[in-house]
Amino acid sequence: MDILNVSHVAKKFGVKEVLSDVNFDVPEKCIFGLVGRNGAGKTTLMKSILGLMPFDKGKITVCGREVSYKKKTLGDIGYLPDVPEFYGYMTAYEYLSLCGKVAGMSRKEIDIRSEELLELVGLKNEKSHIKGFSRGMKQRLGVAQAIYCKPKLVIFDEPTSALDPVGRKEVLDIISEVGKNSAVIFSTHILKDVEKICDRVAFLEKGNIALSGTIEKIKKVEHRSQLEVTVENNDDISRILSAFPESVEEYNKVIFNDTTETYAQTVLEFIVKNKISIIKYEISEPTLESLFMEVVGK
Amino acid sequence: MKDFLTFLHKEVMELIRTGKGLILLGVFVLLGMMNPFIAKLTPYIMEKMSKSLSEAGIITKMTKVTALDSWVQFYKNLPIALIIMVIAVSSLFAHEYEKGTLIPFVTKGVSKVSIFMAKEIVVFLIWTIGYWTCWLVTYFYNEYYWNNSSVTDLMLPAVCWFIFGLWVICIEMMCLATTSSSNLGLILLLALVVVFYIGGTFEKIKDYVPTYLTGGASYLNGQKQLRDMNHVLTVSGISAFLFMIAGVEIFKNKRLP
Repeated sequence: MDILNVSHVAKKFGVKEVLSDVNFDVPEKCIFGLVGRNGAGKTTLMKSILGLMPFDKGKITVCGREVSYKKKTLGDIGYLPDVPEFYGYMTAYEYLSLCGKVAGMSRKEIDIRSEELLELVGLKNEKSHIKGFSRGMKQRLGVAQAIYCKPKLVIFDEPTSALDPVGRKEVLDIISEVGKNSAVIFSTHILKDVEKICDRVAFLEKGNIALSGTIEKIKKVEHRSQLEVTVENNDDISRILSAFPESVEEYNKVIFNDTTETYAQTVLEFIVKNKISIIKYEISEPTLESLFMEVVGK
Repeated sequence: MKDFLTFLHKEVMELIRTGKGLILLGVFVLLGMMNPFIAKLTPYIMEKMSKSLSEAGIITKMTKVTALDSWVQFYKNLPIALIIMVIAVSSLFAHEYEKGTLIPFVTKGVSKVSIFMAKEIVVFLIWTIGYWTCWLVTYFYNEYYWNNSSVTDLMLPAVCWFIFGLWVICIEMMCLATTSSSNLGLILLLALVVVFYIGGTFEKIKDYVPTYLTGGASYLNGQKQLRDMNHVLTVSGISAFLFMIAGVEIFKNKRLP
């Protein structure tokens, strides 16, 4: 079952079209990476899903219920903003209790859930007020509040961008845990993080989903690999180049872009047939970064 | 109701822990003490100045100070108390807008009406506690130094001014919810209050304009009765309610950054 369904969503700010026709679904227990440049419309899209911003066209449903800006928010979405801010005069426990109270939980339930989450995010022994918290601690508390009410959908807006490597790993581990029970939208610029924890990814470019699917699928199906052949004798380069005019010479290598499996086999057959001595024959898988660059036209 | 009570608790906690509540209470107590002291000190000051004034050709005459002078001072100081309170609470919305601290709760389904009303009620509480503390401090000092029996009507002007304060709060909360900056909100409030003050200068409508409630000092002699205030109390009540509804609607449609 799809937890989130975004269908033909469009949004304009004045004459500027921020989202033109966005369509995607997020199934249950899926970590969905939302990748895009600054200004690509990620935050607008997320705020539209949250019901914090009106959109001009299309339909967004969360667990089958339609999102509307005019009405009260649906309440079953957890959200971690990119720079989470809290009431500095409260302790982490008091802040989480506030989340529990608005969810209508009993005193006992609040105690159990708050303790459990403070343990998960490593703030159990932190008794000081939030105003003294570091950026990383605030980020972890932000994760705890986002998942407090066990929402079906959790949206994390660039949760790792300002963290040190240790903090980043901790937050990624927590998001992976969250993804076991909830659908997660993970917006980020750090493509390595997407490769590490996401099941699916969508590239948002110029207000449209330029590419989406499971990471394996878009790497294998949508885009071709690159073949590199390093030869022992530089004279052989011209032989390969004349046989395969689309290939490119680079030092003592011949590069074949957009290579399919059959094409790579044809090249190998040519090398064997012509007894060309090679040092290296390598087919490299595209990285998300190379795919992203391709999508944004760089 | 659950959301409202939770947020009211949060607002009260904020008031106590940030020290804002204590500072405001101190201001109200101090102003309450100043009224009898200023009244008490006035004859001494006049006596000291009488020599230089007589040299300038101004003859001063000593009159006996009574509780009435202290109460007159009380009504002169009240605008200061109200202005201090209005400024102190002016960041109530701007701070939340600026930091985005409401977003996690709005996305959890907390209604904006509850958030707005919790903020409005907490400011009502500040005004109620502060105002009546100030009044009681002045009352007890006056009773100690003189006797309050020299004042014919103590309650009517006090209640009228208190209601005026609540009316101003209703306008202020609407203005603060409208703008994302506390300064802009205060300017908007000032503009609206000035419009009402100007309205109050027209003879035909002055008895209906809420600023009529601030006539405190002139009502102390018992010239006005509660029934004389019926019109202005009705207008103030209805307009305050409309400002409150407008504030709620504006806040409901306000896009959280």
